[in-house]
Amino acid sequence: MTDERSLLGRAREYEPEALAELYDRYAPKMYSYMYRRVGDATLAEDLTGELFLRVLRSIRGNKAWKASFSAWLYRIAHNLVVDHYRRLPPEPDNPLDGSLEGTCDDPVAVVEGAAQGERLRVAIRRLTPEQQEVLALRFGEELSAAETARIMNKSTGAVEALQHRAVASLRRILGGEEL
Amino acid sequence: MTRQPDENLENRLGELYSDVPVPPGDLAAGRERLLAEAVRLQAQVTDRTLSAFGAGAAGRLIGTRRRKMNLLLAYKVLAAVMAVAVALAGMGGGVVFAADSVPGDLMYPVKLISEDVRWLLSWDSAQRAELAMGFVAERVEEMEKLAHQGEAIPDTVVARMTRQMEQAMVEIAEARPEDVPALLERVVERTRLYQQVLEGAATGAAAQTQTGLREASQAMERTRQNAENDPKYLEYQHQHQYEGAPGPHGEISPPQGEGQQTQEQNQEQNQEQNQEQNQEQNQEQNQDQNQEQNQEQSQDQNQDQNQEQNQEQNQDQNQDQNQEQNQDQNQHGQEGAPGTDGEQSLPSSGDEPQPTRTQQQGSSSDKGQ
Repeated sequence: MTDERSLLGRAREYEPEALAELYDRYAPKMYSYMYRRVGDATLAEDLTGELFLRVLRSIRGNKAWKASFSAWLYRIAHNLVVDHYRRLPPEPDNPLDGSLEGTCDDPVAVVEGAAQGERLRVAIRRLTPEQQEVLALRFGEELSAAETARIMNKSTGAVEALQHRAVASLRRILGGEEL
Repeated sequence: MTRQPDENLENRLGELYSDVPVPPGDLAAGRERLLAEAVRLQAQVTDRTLSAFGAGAAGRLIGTRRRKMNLLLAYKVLAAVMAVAVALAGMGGGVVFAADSVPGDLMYPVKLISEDVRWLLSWDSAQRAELAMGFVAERVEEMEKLAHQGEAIPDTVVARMTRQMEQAMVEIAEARPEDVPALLERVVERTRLYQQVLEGAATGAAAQTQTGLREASQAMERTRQNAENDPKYLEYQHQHQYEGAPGPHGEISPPQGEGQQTQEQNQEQNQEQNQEQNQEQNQEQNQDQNQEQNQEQSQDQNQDQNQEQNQEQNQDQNQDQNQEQNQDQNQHGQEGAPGTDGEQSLPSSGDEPQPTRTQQQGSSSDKGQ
């Protein structure tokens, strides 16, 4: 495997082979992350493509990737997801304003008839973007608290607290139903 | 809040997140978009670099004679520069608009003239090779845009792109030997990439559009194969072939005949070349000889006399030699005549390649406008 630093140096010069290798190396992982965040395969694929375009356009002017390319990718991916939801018209069932309590009188009714996984997915969408991100990184990408902290530009303790609040909020949204 | 429900919930989250479907398009579209954008950005960088280089080139044009440039070509360079200047003055930022134009647009000719001027103001072979490949990237981008707009690809665009790739290869053959491998490697990389872009653009395009894109892709393939050949062979194949060659569009170029040249034309050109070469050689030789033999005479007188004598001698010798050479070249040129795209036939094994001006001018005669 080519040394990543040299690969990134070549990508910075827009060398197609280096870019193709970077894409092949990271796109599947970033697609998975996108899917976990948006729950739609086609949309996740589109956003993954957009993510690499942003990488290409920023790699010359932005030095953030030098610390950790992978962390930089996750940050851009998170911003893309947030941008995507901002563009959508507000939906009563899909609020992203961070207000959790009292947004749904009967959460079970909202997801009535849906699969158990879908219920959970809907519930996750009611969390704040940061809470969604921490869950996706910790339980989806299976990153450590320290790795997650680096991606989210937070301390490890702040990440652990955020994760705790996210799980508690999720449980509250689901109304304590059996999972 | 108990620990047990949280653990259940976390396990459930892990299960949910592990269920990721295969991407519907296998992530191919994103890859294609990324590489196409890389081509565009790379071309922009090349353009900026070459623009900066072009600012210094005007001084070199006047101050050096690194490449032999006849008066006609110099005149045409000036004419082209003036044309662009007029275009800039008359249309303000027209050239900026022209950069994004495609065949059929009002500003497209301005774009081509701008490319020709940049070409004629560049001297270094490695940079000319990069410049020509930058133009190829422009053609690829134009074809991609046309395909997305559902329009057919004009033959002239494919022919122009083919010619520009050939021009890049010729410049590589003339580049410093230490630069050649890296330049060839870049040609291989880029042609492979451009092929992907062209093939991607052909997906779902109309049949007529696909035909043009496939022709362009095949031309890419030929160039890539050529670039993958032994550099020595490449050098031999193209050596001296493009001396005084026209610009990549064939517009600002010395007058050329269509197809093969006549024997008389070849004789005249070879006489000029040989006279220049022989004058230079003989000047040096005679200076040395005369210093020894005719110390009392001034060097200036000897130089003048010897130049005249040698010119006459060389003209006679060269006429004889050129008649023989041109007969061979014209015969060979018909055997390996360029195709419609200016494509040159490779010599068969055992048949020594004869890089002829006839072949080059045949390929460059396609104005492609």
